[in-house]
Amino acid sequence: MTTVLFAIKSYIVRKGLVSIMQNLNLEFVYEDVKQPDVLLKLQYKTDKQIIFICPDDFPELNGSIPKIWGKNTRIIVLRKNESGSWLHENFETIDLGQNKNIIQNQLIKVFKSLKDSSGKEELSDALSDREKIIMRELVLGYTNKEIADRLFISPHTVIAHRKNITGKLGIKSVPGLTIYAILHKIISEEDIKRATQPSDTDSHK
Amino acid sequence: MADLVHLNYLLLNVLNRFGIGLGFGDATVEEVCRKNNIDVNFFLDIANTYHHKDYFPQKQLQKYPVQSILHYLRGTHHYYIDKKLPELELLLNQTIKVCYNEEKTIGLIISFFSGYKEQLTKHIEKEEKDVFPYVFWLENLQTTNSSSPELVHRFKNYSIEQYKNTHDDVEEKLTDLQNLIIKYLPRPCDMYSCNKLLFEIFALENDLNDHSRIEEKVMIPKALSMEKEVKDKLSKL
Repeated sequence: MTTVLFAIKSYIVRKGLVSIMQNLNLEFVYEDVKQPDVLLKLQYKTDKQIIFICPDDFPELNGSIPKIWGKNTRIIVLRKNESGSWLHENFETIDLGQNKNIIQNQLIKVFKSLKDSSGKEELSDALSDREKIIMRELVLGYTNKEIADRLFISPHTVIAHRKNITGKLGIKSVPGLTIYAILHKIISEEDIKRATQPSDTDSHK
Repeated sequence: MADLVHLNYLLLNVLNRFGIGLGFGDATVEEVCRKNNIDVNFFLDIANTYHHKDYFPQKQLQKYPVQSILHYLRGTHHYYIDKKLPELELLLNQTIKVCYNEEKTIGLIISFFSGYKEQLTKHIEKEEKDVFPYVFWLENLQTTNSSSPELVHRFKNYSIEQYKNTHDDVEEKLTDLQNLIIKYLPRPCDMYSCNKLLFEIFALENDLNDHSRIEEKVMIPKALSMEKEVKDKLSKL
């Protein structure tokens, strides 16, 4: 579980970031930082943490935030406009004027970079080839276990792929994924019909 | 009572499930409840949880009798099965045909919803047929001191735990449907009709969320604790 700290005074910005991260199914708990000195003590924590800072809200911190943090901590500077940019050079920046997709991708990358070494696949809004293969299997009606056996991967990997697919598309159920897959030509209706007819010669059982 | 409806017209749904008809004049909430034989505190708690998403006095709600809780849940079931689902299906079928040109898209969405309707109907039927009677039975057992073999047998074969573990996420597919329409289907020819459909889907989703919350956080924990009490009693005999 990642701890997210908001050193941001704007309620709307905090709320917006939380809602984007929740929609992406990212796992985190969050709290608001009201006193700037709290931030200075935090660097000793070893848990995974992401700190969002709006420098304009805490000008008194100027120069006192260390440049180097532990590998479990990411500092993200939120930029509203060009003014008061004392932190921008040293840390990753999210521009709040950007469109949601770009911010989403930045957040996914930040979370991903904090994760353990497993599953290094790059995330973006579009499905990866691997995810498309998993989606095909799901639509054909295979269970997680069956997919794992058929693709020679562990069931955990299948579940991780499923989570990513759902996170990216906002579609969870197999019937929902089926419609997406047909509309995006990942699978044809004929393929599905063929797979669900028991008397078929190339049955997969 | 009329002020309550003016405050949030969606509470009309709640009134409906309690069997409270309109035309109550200037009667207060308490007067209307008394006239309809409804526990006013229960009504207020339910109305408040429906109105404020963040307000949910779980422990307090669990104290109400099974009879009251299930009566309300049943009212909601009737609303879904008899009114909302057929109505939404009709609206969806009409709207999809007006909004999209491609036969394939139309067919996919119509069959998606009909699958959803079937799933939700089965889910509700199971609750009405098995789960609710079991919870009633548990409450009756509290007052009697029976330890018949039949009783022991029933406990061996069923626990509310089983239902808890299989309580499907019935809202999930509605979210999928929203996203399909909002993000992935081609641009609809008639935005007005499409919005109207989406409003209805969102409304049903919110209502189902509220309903599931009462089942999962009030009915199930209450049944679990009654089950434990009865089992403890049995083991002491």
